[in-house]
Amino acid sequence: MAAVPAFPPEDPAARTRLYEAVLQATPDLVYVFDLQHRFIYANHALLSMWGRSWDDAIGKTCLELGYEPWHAAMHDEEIERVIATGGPVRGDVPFPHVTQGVRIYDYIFTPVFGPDGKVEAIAGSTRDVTERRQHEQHMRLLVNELNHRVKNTLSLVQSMTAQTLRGCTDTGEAQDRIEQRLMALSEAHDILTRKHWRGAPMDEIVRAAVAHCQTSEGERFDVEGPIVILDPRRAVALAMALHELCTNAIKYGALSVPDGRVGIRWQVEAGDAHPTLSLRWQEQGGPPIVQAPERRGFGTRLVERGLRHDLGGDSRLSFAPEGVSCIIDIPLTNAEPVAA
Amino acid sequence: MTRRILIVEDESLIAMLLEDLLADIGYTVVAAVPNVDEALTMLAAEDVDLAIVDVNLGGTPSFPVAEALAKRGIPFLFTTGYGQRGLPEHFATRPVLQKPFRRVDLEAALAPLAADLPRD
Repeated sequence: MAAVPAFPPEDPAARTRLYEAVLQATPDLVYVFDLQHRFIYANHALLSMWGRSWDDAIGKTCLELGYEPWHAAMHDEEIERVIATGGPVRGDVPFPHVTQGVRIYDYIFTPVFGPDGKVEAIAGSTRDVTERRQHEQHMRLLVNELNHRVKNTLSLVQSMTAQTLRGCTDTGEAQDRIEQRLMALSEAHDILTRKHWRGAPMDEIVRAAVAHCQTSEGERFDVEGPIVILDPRRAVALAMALHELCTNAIKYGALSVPDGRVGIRWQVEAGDAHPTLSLRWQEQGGPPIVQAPERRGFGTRLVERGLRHDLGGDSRLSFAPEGVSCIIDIPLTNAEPVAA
Repeated sequence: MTRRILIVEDESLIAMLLEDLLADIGYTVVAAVPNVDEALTMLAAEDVDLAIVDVNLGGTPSFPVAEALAKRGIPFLFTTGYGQRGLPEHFATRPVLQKPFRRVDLEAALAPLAADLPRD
């Protein structure tokens, strides 16, 4: 087996070829200033960034190469600092790349020492960190937004808990109701997470809301409607309202008897300014309703007031003798495209 | 006479919580509205002594409501899930209630505003 050649090569010409190959291959900008701040070396990446040839660039200062005066002055000061201290200087700066527009560059100037121990030149290396900076900024935004959503969700949970406790005298019952409502909220979040919080399809919202009401005897729901995507806020509001309607149907309505059924049907109607999504909850085959509940609990309040408030539409709950019905109208603005 | 208060809050559950808490601590809720337009309509139509304004109404800043309240000399406090940052300079001294908040926080934040109102 051949011996591994010595590194760096003893032959100066071989050494130059080797370093030059490395410097030309890197995507980073590599350069050297003399003590008069003139470029005496620039690698391929730097020449491309400037859009200049070697002959056109070498021997010139930053100012002579057309850098903005403030930018050239900043580097002049940094080069002098490297010469004076014998230590490196690091910074970042925006600069217009000849073809890619303004990019953010992270750079380091470092001293090259001569045999006498004095700084004889200043070597520099610069990296385009635009994407990393954008990514960092995006991460900060995400963390900020996440914090906001968590705080908001905690407020929803606080409200739900407080209102449930107001309506219940029995702590066991209150615990059940709170758990169920938290699960409904959690399921709505699952749907949104699967869709990257861009929106949730109506049929998934409806199916998730009614899933816990399905019994072993089979489907109790007739679900029917076109594909419609709801924005996250409306999706959560609708999911919570449907959950309350289900709970009420199980306790007092059509789902409290074996043969009762619930129809959930929606359609999109053309409107003056924008289309309207109209959803109808219709119970049938349940026990006859003698009268509307006297005291309007949290569920009713959420279905009527809450939906009106959150959807910018209308919600009408009716306790007709043949079964509970609820008509929900949601104006669809541009944010919720209706799939063809 | 109880103070009449306007709630500007896009999230219905939080609006309902505020309605309950405010009634508990002795205020009369004039209305709870979810957006800038309805808030401005309500301000034009109703007598309002105080207001609670969510900074972010479904992605839209509520500052036009705050401007209208300031112009009428109606004291108000902001609620937000974002921290103190993000308020324009001329609102930076307004009280801010961070969500989630306790009933005592709400009561403490409103008391100085109500105390400054003329007696009637």
